[in-house]
Amino acid sequence: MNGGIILRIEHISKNFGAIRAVDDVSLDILDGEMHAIIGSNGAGKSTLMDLVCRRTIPSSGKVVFCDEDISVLPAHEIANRGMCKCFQISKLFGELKAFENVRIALVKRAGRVYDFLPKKKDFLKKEAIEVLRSVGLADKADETASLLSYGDQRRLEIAITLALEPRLLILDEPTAGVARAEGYEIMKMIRNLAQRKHMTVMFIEHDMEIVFNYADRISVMHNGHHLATGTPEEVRQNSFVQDAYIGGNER
Amino acid sequence: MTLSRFALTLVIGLSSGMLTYLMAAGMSLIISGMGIINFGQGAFYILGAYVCNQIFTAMGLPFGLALLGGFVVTALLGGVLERLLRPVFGKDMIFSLLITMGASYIICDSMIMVWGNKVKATGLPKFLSGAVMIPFTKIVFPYYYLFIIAIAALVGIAFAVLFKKTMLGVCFRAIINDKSMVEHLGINVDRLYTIMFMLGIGLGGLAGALNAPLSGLTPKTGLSVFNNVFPVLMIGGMNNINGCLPAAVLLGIISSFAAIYTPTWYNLVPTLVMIIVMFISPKGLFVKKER
Amino acid sequence: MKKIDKSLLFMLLVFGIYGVVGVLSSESVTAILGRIVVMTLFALSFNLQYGYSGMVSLGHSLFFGMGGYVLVLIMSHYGIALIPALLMTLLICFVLTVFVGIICLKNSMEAFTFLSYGIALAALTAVGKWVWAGSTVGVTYQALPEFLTGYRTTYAIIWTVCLLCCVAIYLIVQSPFGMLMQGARENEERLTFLGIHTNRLRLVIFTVSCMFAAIAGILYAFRNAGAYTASLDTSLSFQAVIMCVLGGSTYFAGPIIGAFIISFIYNYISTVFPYYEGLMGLMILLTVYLLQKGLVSLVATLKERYRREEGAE
Repeated sequence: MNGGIILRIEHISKNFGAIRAVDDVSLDILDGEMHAIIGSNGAGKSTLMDLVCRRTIPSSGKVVFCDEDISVLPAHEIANRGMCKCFQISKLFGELKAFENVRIALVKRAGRVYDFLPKKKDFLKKEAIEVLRSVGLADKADETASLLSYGDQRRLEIAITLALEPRLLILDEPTAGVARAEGYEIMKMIRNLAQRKHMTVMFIEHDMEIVFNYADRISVMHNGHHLATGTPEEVRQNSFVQDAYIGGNER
Repeated sequence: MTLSRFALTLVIGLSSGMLTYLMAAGMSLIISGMGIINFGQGAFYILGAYVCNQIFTAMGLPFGLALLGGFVVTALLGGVLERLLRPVFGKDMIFSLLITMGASYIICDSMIMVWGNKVKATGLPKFLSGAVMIPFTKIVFPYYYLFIIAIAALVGIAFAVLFKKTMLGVCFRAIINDKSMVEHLGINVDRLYTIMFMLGIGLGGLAGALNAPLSGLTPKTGLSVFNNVFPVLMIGGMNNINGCLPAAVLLGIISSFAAIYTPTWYNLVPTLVMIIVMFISPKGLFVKKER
Repeated sequence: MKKIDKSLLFMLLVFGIYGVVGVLSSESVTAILGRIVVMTLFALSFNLQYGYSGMVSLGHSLFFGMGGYVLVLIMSHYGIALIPALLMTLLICFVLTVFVGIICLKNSMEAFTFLSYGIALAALTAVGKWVWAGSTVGVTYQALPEFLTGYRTTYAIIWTVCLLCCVAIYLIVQSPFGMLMQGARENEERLTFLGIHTNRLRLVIFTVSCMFAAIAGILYAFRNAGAYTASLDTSLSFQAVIMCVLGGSTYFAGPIIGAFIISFIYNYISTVFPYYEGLMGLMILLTVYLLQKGLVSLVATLKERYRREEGAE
């Protein structure tokens, strides 16, 4: 791969009518790193993520993943390329049990989507529970997804995505809405998984403590522009960033 | 094709298109404002026609009253139906679909109970029968078709004025754009929904009443009306009330000319056009594209 | 010993009853049962796309009627023998189903409902005017060979094929494809971001579901010795929805119960009470207000209450 860069965003822009939500952003994500995207509300972080995982089409620019231009791929293809997204609002299969949620991802991974032959009720259940174990949900395997606690639902969301064994995991505010302690738990779990499975992680985060503790590199967005990218120390020192963003925020 | 034939076909097409526009606009209002797909619209269409027939033909009252009756009676029943829909409001679309479907069965059978199954004919009021001839040409326009076009156009304009200039219209537009916001502004959304629904149904009833003099009435005719209405909704864009008018006029005129060439199959032309449009522009022809 | 699933047991039990009663009864009762059995397959096939996959089609009548009409027409007009005609019918129905499915799935799922209804209605209207297809009179034609046309043998054929198809539907629901179907119902966007082409998935679900409906239609043509516009009537599409909702769309057995009740109303009550459609309308309203998850849920709730009382003692 090109110098260890797994994802290259090149001069990407997205306009919504007259509003430039993302304005000529370029940045690289390195293979194997935990990369945080930060910025105040309206900075364009979510739009950037939507562009990367093809939920919307760029108005201009391109996205290159593993040396392949994915800018105009249909949305369902990006998961097949190894990039998987976890949503800010969990997208679970509500009426299904936790292990059934993960099982669907496993079925997809095994290429059995159009397999019409009946299987036993515990088909792939063991494998699903293994995945649930890695996010700490093994004991809740038979619970209905919509009845899980908010934090557990976030974990389940991550579990479903992990079942596909992605190369790049995209997380949209993984710790939003959970107590700080649990937020740390989730991030620690993600970092362990990332290291064990050699997975790159790109995440949007508002909690600066988490960002500075868990990110290898940080990219700062502001008003649709990309301000800076660097290690936590470099970003902390960057004067542009200090002016625009880290003034009085959580410290 | 002679000029007079052409002109007459055009007017007939325009007139039938306008009737479809009324029905489709009514359905579209309810869809975009309340997210409810009203499968009872056909039943209210026939009900409007029967009421018109009852008032004008059976009771001998003025035609204008008959038309008004068609609108009012269906709108009132629509209000009742809206009450029935309250408990499932906001839930899965299937529930409101089932309720409107169930209601339509009940209404249809009720109409049979009241009016029987035989075909009823509604006469034309004297001042609307006959035709006007354009001087120096052989072009003849029957008054009634012009009347329909005029009424529907008036309704269309009234609608536009309602939406753009009145407080009610502003509220409607707000609801269509963002329901929860309107609630948070303290406006009595419930009453607005009821008015919206009654208006949508009433339009269907009015369309039926207008059409009563033109064809025989049986309880089953409401079904075939959907042959025209759905294509209009799909081509105009389901959530787009404004798209109903060009779509309806277009389809009405195309069908009218098609009727000359294939008297048997012409009322399938709208569906055919709908299928073609789905391949070319799945979101409809008149929907604003988001860039 | 392997435990057989309750739903499967229930279905086998019901079919067992249908079989025994049908074989032992008079011709008129068997005729009614024939319709009920066909409707059971019809409802189960519809629930594949509705209850399991969350797709609300109002055009299921089209595929039901299509099966019977295509078979009867190609046999009566072209003199083709039964077996090749059956194969041709299935092929033609498959092509038409895929075509209609593609059109209906072009837009949103609300549009899917509209488009499916619009096309089904247009087909009904078209056949009603098409002399070659029998127009409003229909086409009378006995597709089965002479030695199979006794009312008991016809019923046996209908019963057997329906049973096999219903078991097949049961098996499909237990397959990975069945799991994906439920995924499509629960959260389509999640499926997309798992890498699945959801439009294609829905098209496959639609095709499988409608092909079973077509088979039901073929059997109906055996029973009626012909194809008539009643089999294309859009009210059948509404009945499919009602059968599934009344019985309970989230349960495999729901449509079975719903099919029985609705068919009973249509077949039997229609002869004594002329306003049976209004009655059905009332039943739909009651179901939506009181029993949203269908009759099977009532059974499940009662069992749960009983179990709790038992445990409390």
